[in-house]
Amino acid sequence: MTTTLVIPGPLSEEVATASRNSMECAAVLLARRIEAGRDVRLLARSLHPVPPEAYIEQSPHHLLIASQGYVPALGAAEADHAVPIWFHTHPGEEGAPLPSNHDRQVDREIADLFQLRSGSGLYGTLIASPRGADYVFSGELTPETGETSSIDRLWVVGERWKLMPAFARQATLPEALFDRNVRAFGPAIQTILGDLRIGIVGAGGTGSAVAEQLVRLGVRHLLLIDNDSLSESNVTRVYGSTPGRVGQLKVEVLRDHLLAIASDLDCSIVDGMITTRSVAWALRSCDLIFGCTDDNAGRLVLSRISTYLLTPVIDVGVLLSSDQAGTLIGIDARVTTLTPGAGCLVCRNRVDLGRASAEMKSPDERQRLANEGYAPALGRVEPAVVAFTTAVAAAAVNELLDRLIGYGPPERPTETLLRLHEREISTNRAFPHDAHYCHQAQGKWGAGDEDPFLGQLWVTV
Amino acid sequence: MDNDRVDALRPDRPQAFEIKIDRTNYKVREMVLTGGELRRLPEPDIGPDRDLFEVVPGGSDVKIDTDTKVEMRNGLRFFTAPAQINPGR
Ligand SMILES: [Zn+2]
Ligand SMILES: [Zn+2]
Repeated sequence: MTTTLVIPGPLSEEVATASRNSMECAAVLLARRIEAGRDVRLLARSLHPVPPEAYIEQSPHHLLIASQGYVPALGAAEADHAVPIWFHTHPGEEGAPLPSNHDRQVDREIADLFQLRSGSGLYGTLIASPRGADYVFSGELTPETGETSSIDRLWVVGERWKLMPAFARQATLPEALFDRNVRAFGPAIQTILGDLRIGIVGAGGTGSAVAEQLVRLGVRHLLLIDNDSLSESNVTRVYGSTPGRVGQLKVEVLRDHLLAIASDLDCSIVDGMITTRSVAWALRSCDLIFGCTDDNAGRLVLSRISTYLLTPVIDVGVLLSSDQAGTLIGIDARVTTLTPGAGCLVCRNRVDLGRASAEMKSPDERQRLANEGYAPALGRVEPAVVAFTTAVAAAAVNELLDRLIGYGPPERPTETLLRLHEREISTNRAFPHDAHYCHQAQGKWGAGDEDPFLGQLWVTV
Repeated sequence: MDNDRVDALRPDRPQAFEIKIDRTNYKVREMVLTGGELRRLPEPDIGPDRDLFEVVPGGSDVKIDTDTKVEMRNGLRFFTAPAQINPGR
């Protein structure tokens, strides 16, 4: 079992600021807990600092806190269906974020209260020490009955994405085969790539090109989702496809191809569409998702996942336009990054809502509505060319690398537009609309398994 | 006003109230209990090293001091918390 604490950028900044304080300080962090297969994810919701008047004593290595300093946060945890995590700092660049004997005593004193009053049955701990602009941490989760387990990794999702292993976990050095990568971005990023769990929705031209690059970069945990079989005309651009495998599931063809590149790859496949609840549910285990589908209804689900599960989504789209004679005149592609604080695909007008609703109807009903002119005709075969799908796939992987490494501009754009016909690239930033679920004030960041899942209606199949 | 007078005014008044402190249920017959009286319900009494709070659903829990008077009603919940914690290094 691996437990991951997922923290939106602004909350992580609060933790970092507290850890840089020369005085030890404390707070209660609230997080919703979801189970994704064997793994647990804690989605951080809010930080409730101990108010200044509740510190009876405060020094660089010692605290004495009155009950009013932490009790109010427990009622808030109950109201928010959250796990209360007792957070405090061990100041100083040399500070080790490991529980002291005093801390163990505090655990014995408050665990039961935290479990009971929050209604969650759980008591969490988090200790942080500063390291430059970042921090190091250790953490635990203790259920009312059962064993204490550690918080193994912390996944910070904001402008930058940072995957931090728990302090005590020994970092393993990357294998020699990644030497050229390591020369570019160092061993830490290489290790992170190997640890990230990445979902790819769509295993066609762009999805397969993203997958192959990720595996060559050293990504070792992939979840591939597609409901299509490989067709003859896919062989022109789908990586890993060969004429001999036409008719087989795209996800199986791609998985086998990727395993031939890296036999140690952990690759799960799902034959289905993410507009189905069970398939969207499977994506709860991912740290990050590439949206490589041309389906509008699927994009609506991906948008919600990025907010409700704090799972960044890198969504790609390619649009080829032709003149009246049918010759290519425009090659437009975009890479849109959905991360807490950025506008979702709906706020950006990147989803055709008419097509999305038509995609959700049964084929018969869709045809009837299309005949009557009430719905867009779907199922038209769009042009696609390997050079263009590969270019946008590379731009999408580039986006992931920038978010991890941080080589990009400080005011990080959330969308890259490629106008390949003009040999032009431009970027933009878009922000959530006030009343939309992707806005922080709507309280949906890290909502987790709230019913209905992702706050939307699901078609029962 | 003593309890008999209140009973006379409110014949529908329950004979006892079910309240909860931490994980334990208690039946109390009094209309009003002080913090000090509540502290003596558990066996052993709640020690001075713990604070007593009344749960305020949807609000902020209220600290109940020894002389604070609390009107009893069914379903009232209290819990205790260490008065001070000491997370030194
Ligand atoms: Zn939005
Ligand atoms: Zn400590």
